[in-house]
Amino acid sequence: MRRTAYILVALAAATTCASARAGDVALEVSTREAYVGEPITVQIQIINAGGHDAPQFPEIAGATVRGGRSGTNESMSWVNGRMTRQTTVTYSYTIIPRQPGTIQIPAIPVRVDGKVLSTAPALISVVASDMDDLDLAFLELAASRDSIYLGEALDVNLEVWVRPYRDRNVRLDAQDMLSRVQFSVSELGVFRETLVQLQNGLLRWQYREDVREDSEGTPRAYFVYLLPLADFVPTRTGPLDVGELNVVVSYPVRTDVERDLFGRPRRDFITGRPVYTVAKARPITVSLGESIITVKAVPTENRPRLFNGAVGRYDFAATASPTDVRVREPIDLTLTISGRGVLDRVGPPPLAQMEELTSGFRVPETSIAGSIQGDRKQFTVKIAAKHADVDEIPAIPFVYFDPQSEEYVTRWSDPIPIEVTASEEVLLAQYAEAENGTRTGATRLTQTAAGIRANYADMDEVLAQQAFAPGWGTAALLTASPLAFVACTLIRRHSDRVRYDRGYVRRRKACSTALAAIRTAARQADHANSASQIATAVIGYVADRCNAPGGLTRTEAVERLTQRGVGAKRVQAAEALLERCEGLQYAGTNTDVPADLATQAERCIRELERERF
Amino acid sequence: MRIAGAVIAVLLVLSVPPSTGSVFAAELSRQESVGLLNDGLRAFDRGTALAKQSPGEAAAAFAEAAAKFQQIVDAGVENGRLYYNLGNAHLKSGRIGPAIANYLRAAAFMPQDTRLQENLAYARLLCQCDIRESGERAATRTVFFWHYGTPLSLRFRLGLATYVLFWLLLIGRTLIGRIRWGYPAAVCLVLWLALGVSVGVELRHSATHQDGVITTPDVVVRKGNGLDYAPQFEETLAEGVEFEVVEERGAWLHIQLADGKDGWVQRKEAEII
Repeated sequence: MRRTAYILVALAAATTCASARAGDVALEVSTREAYVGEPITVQIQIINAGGHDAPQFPEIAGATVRGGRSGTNESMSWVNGRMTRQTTVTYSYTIIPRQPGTIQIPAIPVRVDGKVLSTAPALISVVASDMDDLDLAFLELAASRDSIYLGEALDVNLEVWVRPYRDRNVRLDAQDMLSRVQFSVSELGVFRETLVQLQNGLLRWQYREDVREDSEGTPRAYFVYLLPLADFVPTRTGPLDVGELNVVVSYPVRTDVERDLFGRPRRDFITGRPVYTVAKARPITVSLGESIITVKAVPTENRPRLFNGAVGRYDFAATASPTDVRVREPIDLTLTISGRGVLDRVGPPPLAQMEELTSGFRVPETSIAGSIQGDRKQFTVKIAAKHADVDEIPAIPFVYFDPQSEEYVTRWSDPIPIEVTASEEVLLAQYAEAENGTRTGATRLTQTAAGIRANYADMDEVLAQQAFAPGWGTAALLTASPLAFVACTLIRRHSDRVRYDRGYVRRRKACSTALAAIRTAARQADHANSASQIATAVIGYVADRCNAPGGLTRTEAVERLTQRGVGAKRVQAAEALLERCEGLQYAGTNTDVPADLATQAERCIRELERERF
Repeated sequence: MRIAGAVIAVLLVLSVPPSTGSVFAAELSRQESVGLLNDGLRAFDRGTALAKQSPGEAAAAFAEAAAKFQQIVDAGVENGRLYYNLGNAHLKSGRIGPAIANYLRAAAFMPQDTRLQENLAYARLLCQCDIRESGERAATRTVFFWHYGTPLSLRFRLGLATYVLFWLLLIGRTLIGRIRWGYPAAVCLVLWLALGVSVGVELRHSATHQDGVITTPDVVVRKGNGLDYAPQFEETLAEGVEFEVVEERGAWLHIQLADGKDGWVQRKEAEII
């Protein structure tokens, strides 16, 4: 009973359950005033929506927007016995102001249950930290050289200079000050990858203590934290571009003694001194000024025609296989470039522009990808001799720019002797197959969604009638197939019966056997014997039809006919015939057998056959 | 294996419906059909060439191409590629609705054609109204992909072939009992039944249902078959929206959209496929 009562109460509660207003959106901002670099949390809440599209947070001028993670929260409340259920999907974003002023978050449209709802716009005031001008932190780029050529690699360090905090109680050490650098809300440009490696333990934090004069000329001590980036390859000329760099430091303003649960000052276990913690901090955002490292373009003066962008110092060699080929048979030409430089950016020599090579060989015009192993990069390309007069692959030039000597250098491979025999067969297919099958690093093409594909223009294809209209042939197939099966089944059954059912065979042959016997008997000179044979034929017919054993008597034959339901008239006729045969049989040899006896017997047989007994 | 292959090939040939093939419409001779098709293709190419310099002339050329292709269709030629070309011409002339209608007609004959699928997807992208298919419909399409993804004629031929093959296997089983004919016959039976049901369902559906496409922009869907009825939705339907005809009443169509919602539109605002 009690259980039933619980169920009823639960049902009653369910029936009185109501939802909050369906399909609503709201915007919540963690603060309306923030310092530059101080993260602001913004949440878009979608309440009681059946379905919705994820909101698109707009770009905010003067700030960086991150996040977009969503979470779902369900809540229930009881008011006056009425339950209200609310489901809230929350999308969280972090806005990091980069400059003082006002951040304006516009109304953000969200499609909820097919309708477009908008959040309320919001304004956030951003003020500059009053500590920005105190030279408490700054950024610097450090590299071994002041200028490099485009295509060269450079080891470069991002240095984060932070002045140690000290007051009358405490001086924060390098580790404490490092924890004040808010890398999670900082823009680190190309150094973001370095930070990931540092955070994952793949690199160790490096720092040093250094002294730098502040704006008033007073020497100040700094902790300098290094974010190293090895083999950075610039992509454009001018001041070294390492992306946007904005590092936020939550710089302490005041420290206080750390207290335990009971409000007592905590003391260091070993030294017994009070433990201090940062009680108040202000964000400082530091940016990188103009880069002092310059990226120069390789000179255009005296630039060789076959220069393909390689910068560094390289050796070059070429090998070929096979070297005994037929005309148009593919040859693997392997080009090896080794040395110091950014091998990633080194391409193969432009073979298709080398007339010495293209005059005797067919060379693909498409670019080929290479594979890097250690300090060497290999390119393998399929070429084919155009005619049998070719006896060598000529020396191939590879041009690079040497940044140390600041001049272009050309390296030549050795000529490769080959033997080419004429071939009457055109091996174009083989060439294409080899080229397609072994080409490495094939270009991946991305299909666009815009525009339409071309028309079909084949007359026969376009004008052929394709309407679905089954005809008589279909109807014939549909009908004939089962009929053929039925016919085959009947034939099979018949042949099986003929083969295995001896009674059936006797019945089928009874008439013909009896008639043949009667005709034979009629031709005999011995009349008594003839009558006897006719009687035997008729009785034999009855036995065959009834599948009875041979040697029936006249009486038994008549009985069988009666039992099988043969008409009385025909039974009497058969009995009369048999009596007559019997009489003639015992009447002596000289008795004349009436000429119609055989005819009468035949007629009797045919009459009985009609009974189909 | 060779014999079995030959038997299947013969069956496939035999089961080709007699009216399929290079039969040209009675109203147009082969020469006239070819002439119209060539004219249409030339007009289309002319439109393509003029598209950047003179959009107005280009649109007229595409409309001319559509008219030529339509003449062939009106003469009785039912062909997927022809409908595809007609769809292209309409699309290039800026008529998304008729374009989608003709692409859908083409899809009945060549649902797996890559060009057709791409162009239909592009035309649907151009449609300003994105009405998503209901989950139930999408699931049905996924489960019965072979039903929706193969042309009716192909399913019919395959069904007929499996039907004949089934009976031949039964005949073989009857005449030559020592070979195991039962399993292939059972497979043929299942295929035949599946394909037969598929063909039957489609024929019945095409006899009792009609699909259509909105061909004019900003169509107001009403609650009933008259202008006095209030709009059914706050939004209007854009040109190119596809629907299924539930009922036809005078000059009005009772339509059901892909998401299951329904309403009434005027017959002149839509094209029945």
